[in-house]
Amino acid sequence: MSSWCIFIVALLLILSPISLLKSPLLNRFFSLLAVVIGATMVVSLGMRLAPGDPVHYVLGDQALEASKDSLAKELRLRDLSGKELSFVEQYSSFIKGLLRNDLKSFVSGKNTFSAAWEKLPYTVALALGAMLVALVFGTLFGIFAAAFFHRWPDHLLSIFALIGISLPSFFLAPLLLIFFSLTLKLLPISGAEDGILSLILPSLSLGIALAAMLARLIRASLLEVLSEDYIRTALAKGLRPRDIVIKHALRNALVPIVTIFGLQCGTVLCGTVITEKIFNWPGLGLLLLDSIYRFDMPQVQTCVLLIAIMYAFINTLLDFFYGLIDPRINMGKLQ
Amino acid sequence: MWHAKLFMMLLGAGIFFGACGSSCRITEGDKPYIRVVLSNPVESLDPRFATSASSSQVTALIFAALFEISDDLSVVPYLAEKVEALNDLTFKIRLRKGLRFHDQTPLTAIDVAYTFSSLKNSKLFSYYAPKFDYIDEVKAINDLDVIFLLKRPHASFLLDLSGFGIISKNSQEGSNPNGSGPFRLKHWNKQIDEIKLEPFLDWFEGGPKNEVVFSLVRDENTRLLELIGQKTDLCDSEISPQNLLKLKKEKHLKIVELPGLGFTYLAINVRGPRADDRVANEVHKTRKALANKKVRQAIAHAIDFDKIIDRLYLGFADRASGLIPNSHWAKDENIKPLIFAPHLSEGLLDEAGLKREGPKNMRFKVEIASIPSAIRKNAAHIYADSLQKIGIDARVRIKDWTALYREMQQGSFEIVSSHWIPVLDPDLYHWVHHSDSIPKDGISGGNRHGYKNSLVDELIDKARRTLDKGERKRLYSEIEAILLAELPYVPLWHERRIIVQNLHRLPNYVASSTGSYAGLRKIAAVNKVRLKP
Repeated sequence: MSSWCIFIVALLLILSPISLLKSPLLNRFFSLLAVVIGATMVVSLGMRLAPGDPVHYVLGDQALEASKDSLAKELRLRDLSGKELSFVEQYSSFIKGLLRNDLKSFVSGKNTFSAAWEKLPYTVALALGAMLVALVFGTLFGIFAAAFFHRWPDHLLSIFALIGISLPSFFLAPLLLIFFSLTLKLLPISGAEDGILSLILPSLSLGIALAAMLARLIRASLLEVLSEDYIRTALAKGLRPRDIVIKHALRNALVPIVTIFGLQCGTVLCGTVITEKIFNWPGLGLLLLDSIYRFDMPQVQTCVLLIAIMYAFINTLLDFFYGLIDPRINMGKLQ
Repeated sequence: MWHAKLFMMLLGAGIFFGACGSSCRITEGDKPYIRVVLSNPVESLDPRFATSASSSQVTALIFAALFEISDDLSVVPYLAEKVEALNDLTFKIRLRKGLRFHDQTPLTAIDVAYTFSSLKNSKLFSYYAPKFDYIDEVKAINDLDVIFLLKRPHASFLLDLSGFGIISKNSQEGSNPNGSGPFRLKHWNKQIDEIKLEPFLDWFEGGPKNEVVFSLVRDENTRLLELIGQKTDLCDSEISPQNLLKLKKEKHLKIVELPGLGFTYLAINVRGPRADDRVANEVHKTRKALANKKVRQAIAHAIDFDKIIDRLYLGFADRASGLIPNSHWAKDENIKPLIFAPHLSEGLLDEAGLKREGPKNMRFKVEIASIPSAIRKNAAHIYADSLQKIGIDARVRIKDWTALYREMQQGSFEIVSSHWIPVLDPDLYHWVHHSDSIPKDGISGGNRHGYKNSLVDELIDKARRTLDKGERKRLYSEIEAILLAELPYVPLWHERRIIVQNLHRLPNYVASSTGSYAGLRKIAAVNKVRLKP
């Protein structure tokens, strides 16, 4: 119990400077640290509470007690006297391993960072592909629907958007595969052997729901901005409708959209697990899934750590992007 | 106006993409190698750590074993030339002459001794160490002869040796696998979970003709699409019966059905009431009921297993009368599965003193636990429905395998629907039904249902010590007959092994009934021309 108290106090001490920091950059850095520590801690706790034993997974049913005990010590699950390590001790062992870069997988015995690092480019590529799909289609359809407000293109795009939001990726993905890979034979069925061609379907499958949601948001946001006085003024001045929408209306409508987009990045990163499985895309999601099945806690912690860093990084980047799209929002001044 | 332009741009992009497609179609099936899909990851290519089905299958092609299992499940020499039993505890094995590892170093008896001795290293943490615990010593007499000394007679000794590849005494942890099998590792791309094997030209049977690529495809639907789209040539992994019907319509695919070696069963906890149970308690009543042989017989007769095989498995399974597969040499064909007779069940429950009572007019409550697999879950609901009809208030509880396994080890379940992986030797009875295998004090055991029968223990021990095949068969028949009457397990079925192969590319591939990819070493060069749709 006392170790728990020390742990919580130490955590508070680490995180307390956040509220005191004047510099937005440092503030963001500590927020990022908090997200990463929080995520890995919750996952570690979850893995510890879940039934299952990595020792049993490695040695099997018929293993002798002496071998089990010896392996548990080797994996730092028990101390030298054979006593099970507490959560805090296990978590601090994870942090130490991380800092020394000698965190080993329970199952393969390999460095967990190297294993995750090999898969990371695939997940990043998939996430970027999905976001690109979402941005391109979401923005185009959103503007188009707003421009044709209450006319047939608007109704048609609204129906498409609803379908896109409602279709889960595990249902949409096989449909895309059947149409593009089996019927048209345009794109590869699975894997990553065909480079950029292999990325198209997984990105579409993951990005369509986000695109549909963005389209709805952009439409609603644009319609609100388009009814503002300054838009009417611009129209009265004789500006071209295209310039009004893109230069004046869209820019002002973007702030809430960027917020939602940042939050949805988390969904995209988590969604890669299902998409990677269906398209056999060799990313971090599948490594995470396999590691969970094998009770490979260090590998799970490392994967979650990387996903949390990516999520926090994207959101930090978007925070600074606010200042670009609306100069009135300035991180430093807000502080 | 600009709206119309935007619309036209989108339309143009669509037309361009479609037109481009006709000239850059993806062509599958013209590869110069055989592509095989795996459903679970290969964790290690060292036979001592290859625990998953995929790891064992691929490792067996790289590392040859002393013996292998033939299609009739008998043990036949592989790297070994002959075996001589000097007595019950001593076996002399002679190796074939001129065997070589992939690095061209000779394979000798010293390597065989090293392979099995290395398992005794307490820091190795091999999954297979307990399996070979009964081996006392392995001694190389000369380059070709090796002596195995056992601690106690063990009838499945030669079978245990089959499938366990011989490693080189010079092998080092983390180095490239250096086996002596028909294929050698060309490339293992861990980034995309792909293993490429090339023929080992000095293989004693003559080198295979093709390179083989093993690719991990976890999703069943994707495996299905790869087979239909001719990306994959061979699939020996789980495909559900419903999907098999779809594959049967594809002319370029051949579906091979082989007798299943797995065993699906209902385990009934026969431990009886606990000392700390309250007598009036429902749980006490259930435990007491399940410990009664008549109740277990009533349960077995109440469920129409043939109908489940027909409707749920679409005929891709065979009724079981016990743990031994129907195609096994030790199987006694005179032992028939139990019949569906719900009228007998009602009578048996009445005889057991369990009368229908209460507002629901039920005899007692019971819980059937199952893993979340769709087919197992559906089957569990059918069992529960059938038991309701004879007055047993059965309900289904779905649990993740790990959680369920923990309950089974603790003996805190009532009825569990589960499955044993391929049963190659009936010695598994020792692990499953011997009273020594009841888990206790944190020590694992396969007799999770707590079955104790001194006669069965004696017969299992005797069968383990008996080397004569005929006598072993007689003993196992006796065991199976007792167990079919006592029913600690209700035997359900053996799911058939299904292999799907591209008929055009691999017309002569012969699938092995043991689940190995031995057929790949004998196959002629693959057809490199793509089948026209």
